[in-house]
Amino acid sequence: MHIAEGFLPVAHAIGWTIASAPFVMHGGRRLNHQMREHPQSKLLLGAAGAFTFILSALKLPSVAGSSSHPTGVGLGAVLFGPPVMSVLGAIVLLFQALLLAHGGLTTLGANVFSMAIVGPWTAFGVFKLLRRFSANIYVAAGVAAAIGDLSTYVTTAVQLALAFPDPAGGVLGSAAKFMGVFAISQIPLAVIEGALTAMVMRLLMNYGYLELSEKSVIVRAD
Amino acid sequence: MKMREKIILIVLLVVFASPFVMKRFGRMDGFVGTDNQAQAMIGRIRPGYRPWFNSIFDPGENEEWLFALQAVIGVGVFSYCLIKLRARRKTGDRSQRK
Repeated sequence: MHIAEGFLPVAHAIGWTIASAPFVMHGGRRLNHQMREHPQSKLLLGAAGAFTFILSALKLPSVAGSSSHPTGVGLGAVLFGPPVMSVLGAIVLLFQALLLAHGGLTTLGANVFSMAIVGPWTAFGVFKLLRRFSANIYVAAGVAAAIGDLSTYVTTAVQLALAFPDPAGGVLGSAAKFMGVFAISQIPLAVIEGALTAMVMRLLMNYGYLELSEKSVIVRAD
Repeated sequence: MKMREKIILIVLLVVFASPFVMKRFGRMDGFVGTDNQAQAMIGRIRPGYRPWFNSIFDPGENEEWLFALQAVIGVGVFSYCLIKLRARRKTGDRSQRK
């Protein structure tokens, strides 16, 4: 889902940056607040941040000769809420843009929007919905992370379609083309991301329940 | 450590290590990244498009090592947090028992 450096026209690059900035700033305030009010949650925050750091570096082979990577933002979104993950996700994307030449500074706004805003909010929404229907907490987290992963790639496809409408089929035709690039290879990886998220959730609930029980999203959601 | 936790940790390690092991033995050669495929698709939809900005720092051949480094840093921080949480829970349990 990383749109490469310089691959969005100037107007789109600026537009997505303006769209993403308030989410990241709001997330920064929430993150600050979280660390000040609940310093005991720092280790869990670190674990959730490290999880997305690992997963977004994981280029896994998928079907039909393509490879792609998960996003890892669902876990933190479920634990701490989407705004916190907007910051952590933006940090990961900035790191990759600067040091790995993966993604880019001009496309950072668009990539933050798909991976650090749409992904976490979708995962969070799905988690809350499933919990309302009293789904098991690990199943809910896993499904939420998988759907959040897919939503990120759908967003990227739409972003590229808006920037590069198909001469014949327009934006919709172009969206179908980009969706075709991502969809088939991403579905198995989304399932893997869901399973990993459920497993890590299990570890964190085991080890960090005291920290979680304070005021975390999970507990508040119940 | 309970059996289930051990299994989870082993599964995590295997998944985290697999792309780098596969890369090392050339098993990833046939797989094309979707990000690159999307880039090629842009070229097909608008053949004249040229990126208007280039990466400030281009790692070139070293890219794979930097990806591995990112994963290793992540695994390090993650393990540190987990170990500290585990230690904290143990001392917490003990103080509750007193």
